[in-house]
Amino acid sequence: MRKQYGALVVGAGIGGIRAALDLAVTGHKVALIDRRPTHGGILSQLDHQFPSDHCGMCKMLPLMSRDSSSQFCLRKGLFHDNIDIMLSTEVAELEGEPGKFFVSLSTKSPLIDPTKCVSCGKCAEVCPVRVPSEFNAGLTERTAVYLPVPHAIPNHYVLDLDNCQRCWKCHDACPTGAIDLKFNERVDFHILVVDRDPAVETMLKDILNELNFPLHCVQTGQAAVDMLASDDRIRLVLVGMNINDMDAERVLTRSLELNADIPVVVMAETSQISTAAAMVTQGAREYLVKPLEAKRFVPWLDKLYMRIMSDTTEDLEVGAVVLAGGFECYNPVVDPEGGEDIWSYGHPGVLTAVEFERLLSGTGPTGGRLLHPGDNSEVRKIAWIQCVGSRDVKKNADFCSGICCMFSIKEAVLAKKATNGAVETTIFYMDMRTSGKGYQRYRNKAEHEKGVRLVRSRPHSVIPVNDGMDLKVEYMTDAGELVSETYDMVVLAAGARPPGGMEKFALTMGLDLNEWGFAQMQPYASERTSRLGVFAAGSFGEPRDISESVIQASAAAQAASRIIKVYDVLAGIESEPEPEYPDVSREPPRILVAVCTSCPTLEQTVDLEALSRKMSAVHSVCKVISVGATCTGEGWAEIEKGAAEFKPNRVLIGACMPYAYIPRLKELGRSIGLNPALMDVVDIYTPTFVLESEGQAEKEVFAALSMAVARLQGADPVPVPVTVDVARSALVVGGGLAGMTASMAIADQGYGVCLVESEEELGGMAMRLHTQLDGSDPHKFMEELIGQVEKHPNIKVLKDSRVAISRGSAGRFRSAIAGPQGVFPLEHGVSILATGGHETKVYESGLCVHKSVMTHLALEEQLATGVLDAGALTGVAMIQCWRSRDEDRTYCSRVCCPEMLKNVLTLKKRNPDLPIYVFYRDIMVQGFMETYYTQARKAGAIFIHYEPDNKPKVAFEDGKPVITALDPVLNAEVEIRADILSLSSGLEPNDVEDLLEVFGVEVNEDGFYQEADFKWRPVDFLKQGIYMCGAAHSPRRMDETVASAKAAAQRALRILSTEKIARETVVASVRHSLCSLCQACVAACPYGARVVDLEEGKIIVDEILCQGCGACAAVCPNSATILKGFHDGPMMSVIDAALEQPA
Amino acid sequence: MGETTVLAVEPKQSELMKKIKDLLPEGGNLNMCLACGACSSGCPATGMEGMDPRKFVRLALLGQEEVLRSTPWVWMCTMCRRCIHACPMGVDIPQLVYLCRQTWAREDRPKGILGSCEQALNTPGNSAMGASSEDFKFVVEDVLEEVREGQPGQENLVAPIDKQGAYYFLNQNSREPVTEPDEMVPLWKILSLVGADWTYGTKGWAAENYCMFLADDDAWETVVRNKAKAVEDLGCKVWLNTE
Repeated sequence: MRKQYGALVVGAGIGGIRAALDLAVTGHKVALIDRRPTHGGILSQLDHQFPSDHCGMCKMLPLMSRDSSSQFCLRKGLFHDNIDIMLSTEVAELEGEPGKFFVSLSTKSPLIDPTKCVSCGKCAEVCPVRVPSEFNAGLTERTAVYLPVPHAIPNHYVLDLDNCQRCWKCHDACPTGAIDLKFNERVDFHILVVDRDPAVETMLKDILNELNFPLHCVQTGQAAVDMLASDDRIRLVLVGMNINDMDAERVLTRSLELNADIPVVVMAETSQISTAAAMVTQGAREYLVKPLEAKRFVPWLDKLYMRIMSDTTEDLEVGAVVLAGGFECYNPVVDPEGGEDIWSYGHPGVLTAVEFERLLSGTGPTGGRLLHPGDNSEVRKIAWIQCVGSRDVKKNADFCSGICCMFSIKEAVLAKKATNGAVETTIFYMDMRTSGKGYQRYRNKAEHEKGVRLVRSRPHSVIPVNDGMDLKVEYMTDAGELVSETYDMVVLAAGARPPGGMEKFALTMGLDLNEWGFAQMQPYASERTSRLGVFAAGSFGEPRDISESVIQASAAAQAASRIIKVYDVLAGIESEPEPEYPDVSREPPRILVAVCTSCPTLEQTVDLEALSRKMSAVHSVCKVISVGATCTGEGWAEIEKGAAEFKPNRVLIGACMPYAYIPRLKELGRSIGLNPALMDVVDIYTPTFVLESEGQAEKEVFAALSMAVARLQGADPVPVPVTVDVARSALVVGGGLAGMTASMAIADQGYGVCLVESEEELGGMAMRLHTQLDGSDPHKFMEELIGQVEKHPNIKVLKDSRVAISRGSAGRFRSAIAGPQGVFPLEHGVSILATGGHETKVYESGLCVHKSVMTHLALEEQLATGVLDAGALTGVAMIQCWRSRDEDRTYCSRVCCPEMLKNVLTLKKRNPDLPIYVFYRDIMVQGFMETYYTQARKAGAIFIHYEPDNKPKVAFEDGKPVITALDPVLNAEVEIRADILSLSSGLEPNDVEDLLEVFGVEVNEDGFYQEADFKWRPVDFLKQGIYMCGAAHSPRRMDETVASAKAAAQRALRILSTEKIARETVVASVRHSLCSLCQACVAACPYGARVVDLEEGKIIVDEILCQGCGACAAVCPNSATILKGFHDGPMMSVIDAALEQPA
Repeated sequence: MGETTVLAVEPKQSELMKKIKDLLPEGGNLNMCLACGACSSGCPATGMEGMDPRKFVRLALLGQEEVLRSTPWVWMCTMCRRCIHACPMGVDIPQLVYLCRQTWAREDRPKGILGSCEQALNTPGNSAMGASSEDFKFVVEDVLEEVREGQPGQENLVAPIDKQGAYYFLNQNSREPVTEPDEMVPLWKILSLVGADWTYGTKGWAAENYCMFLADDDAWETVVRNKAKAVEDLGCKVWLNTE
């Protein structure tokens, strides 16, 4: 029986996690797999992300029904009731169709049983192998048996068989027998060898004698087939290509017919390699090249045996598939064009960006100190070199990796911070691509406040000088001077590449790839791959930064849930009933304390018997039991047994890594009928590291346990949750591309949508576009979308209307819509603001005065409608950033560069000899958009850079523009006479001042909506139940707008998919009689969950918004604010317990 | 920052550039230039005659034909190809420079290069130094004898000349036999150590080809054909040119 899931998510980096969580919280079961032994993707290696320069990944965790998922550091671990995580797992096969895919997964065994491993590390201590550590990007070494990331919870060792030397020392060292190398099963592993060469038989017999495998040698194919048919003990077939009676292919086919799972290995002569390789595609496991040498053959066979015996496969049935395999970083070492040589990669002072990030990490090789990997000296001068392996046609990378500019600025800022500003930082770049939300401000701050030096110039190479102590970087200034500088460290901003093994993966999944080896995505639906029902999340379809990856992941989740819904209308609706627990609030507390005794350090430092005695004496403790290794299945069974026997109404467990136990506590709760809120796990392991004085560890462990006892004693009997009946429909404000897309996404899931548009027609800004760079027809797309929206039975479109008032909170809003027919009320569960933007109005450079001057949009229109005849033109000039990225508007409008390229390519197509000159500051075309910039240059357009303090000057002669500007390469004025001057006017958000009031939301300093968190909650407002998308969020192109709209819809579905929203167990409340209305709590609340109601004279807490962090309770001067479960009384008892000496 | 020269450049359509782009595969990728500066920062001729590769390409793209035709900078280029090696767009600057050299009247081209090409054309060994084949043969044999006698262990060292049917035909830059004869020896020793079957020739023996640097296609071809014939005449399989 295949296990059934709503969706399979491939890749457990942030894209995969976001998509999986989005699906899980709307009630879909998700299988989340990753081929690595860890989750978190590349971000498990990165400690800091701009603009906060911290992490913050945990903000992705669910805000509602928080108990169903982990609520701790997301880099450490993740669990959710609806998500099954399978690591070291890959897709072997995908068949079927949308709604009903059949998936085969194959999982590489870690060879260490996680239910037995106590993470003591004794295996790693004895392991003789040293290989570069993936986690530290090769800056440190690891053993073959190792922890893939040091911070995971739970954290179990894995055995990297490929690098294992088979000394078996780890096996002998393991105190719990967790390492299973299948020694005893060897005698049952029969191997059949088919080969005519007697030497092979002799050699194999010799070797296999030592390995204990039973061996059967035959000389003919027929004999082999007969044996396979009659003897079901055969577990492996080795077939030579020299047998006479049938060819090896035939033996392979027959073997697989007899036993589809039998591994067949081909033994080939060097001359037969191509045939042997072909046999692998026909189902052979692998091939070996003769002559077989014992030195290589024995370890190979031994490891193959362990793989065959330990690896597992699993078959699933899933409704949809989401691919979130991310990208890999360009590696200068494997570049056949000599990327390694040019950049001196291999010199200890030359690092890639990820390596540098590891160097700055607290868990990195230097503990976060900025020390030179060569000699551990302080680093004084660092250069970053951008576009290493990106924007390089010679490396088949005619694309921009999209992440490196901000990555490098952040690293420079971090380096400054790590050295108190002492280190000199220089970034060499071609175009500084700061086109994301807030990026330009971050750049300006780095440059002008933090002292990061930015140099627009690409050095030729990096050359070690001074006996290799320094690195010489030479570059050209704009003045034409060659400057030579030396650095002690150079960081290469290595770009993105498709994930390793992409071609094979694409074959398995049935995907088309683009010319650079990434998945081919569809226009206006950047989450759709070429295969129906298979979607791309995160940066799988195109290299993207975190914020856009997260948006893309939610969009993919939305598309997947739509498919799941189409084929299974009940999907996501049924949810497991919450278990009911007996009310124990009137019983005296009886606490069972279980102390884990498996930690080696605990036994050495603490007298466990004395501890048990002392704990037994603590008030309300009914029993103390010692458990060997609670983290193992066996240990847990002991606790269950104890709980069943002593019938406590509180359970306390002393062990290590408390977070790891949360899912298990829930299971325990179900099995013994006790609310998990009345259970706790405390860390008694960490105190054993503090050994300042005799007996201190014992005191600390005792204190930790008795504090938890005090806390459990005072644990509130769980109240009947306050619930909100959800009004299961949405209000969408704005009928442009974003609003319509979001409306469709919600309506298709069966919920009502009221779409309010202030204009008389739907469509918005996108209606002004006539063509797209990818050749698609935006008009046709928009017309179809408008048609679908207007006909959709679940969507009510109100044109020429406005939202006059909106009150309430997530799940139940009451709003009033004012339109031509008057005002009418609306109840809805969520609101989506998609109010869009518009082209900036400019009255400069002769725009609106001379007919020859127009904006890019107007030029596109004139070209599309035939008003302008490109063939009759003799010269065209364009100016970029005309009204963006200056004091008035400190952001990049993002759409103007692609718009300019579109016009350039259209003009050049119609009139190839037409001279076109483009004045620009930085060409902002991320990802695969870069290729259009290349095409524009190839077509002959000339691009001239200008600095904002020396903008091109525009004059007119006979109504025609004459542009003079400094060409920095020639260091000379160029004078351009053109028929037409086209200006990039930039994009501004629409005025939403009235809506801010109505919805109680905010905009940022540029007038775009302020999201809850730029990276991790990019389409949420801080106020729950309200979401944003489209150009009102940030300047976006059409496909990016669509992605944000689908993401916003998916976030909204979280609320719409439930009938009731229950109150969380830990929320704050106000005792109004004690409240002095000082409002300190309102300012302190990071979630905006508190408002002051002046009429009532009360502080009101929105229980849905409140996340129970306790910031309010901490600032409240007279304890008027209290946190459920953390009242003063119990907290005082906890403090008393902490200070109490053991009796 | 240096002083800004206020020199007005008016972009033009250039016949020369049209011809060059037509001639080169993919137009030499000249249009693709990102003006990043990688070429100029690695060029040994940067700054000479107020020119650098990036600037040169820029002038080409803006159709400033008279500068392309007149700047002596094209003769400073060593044809080392460091620029195109690092160029992310594969802009073929060396070919641009080469084709601009060809716009110079032959007699106006640098005397040294012109003279070296003429010498090569006038000697059967194609030596730019004008060294005769007899002198070359004499120097090689003389040096060989000295080594055999003076260096223990090198008694059997060989430096064959005109050895019919040898596997490798080895060229020799004529600077060594003329000015630094001892510098030929290390390569002989290497060849001997690996057991290579090789020979020098008395015809077409010089490795250098200044006619290429002169951008004189016909003369370049004449020299190459002469050398190729020398290789074929001796029946050698591989022609080793150490330039």
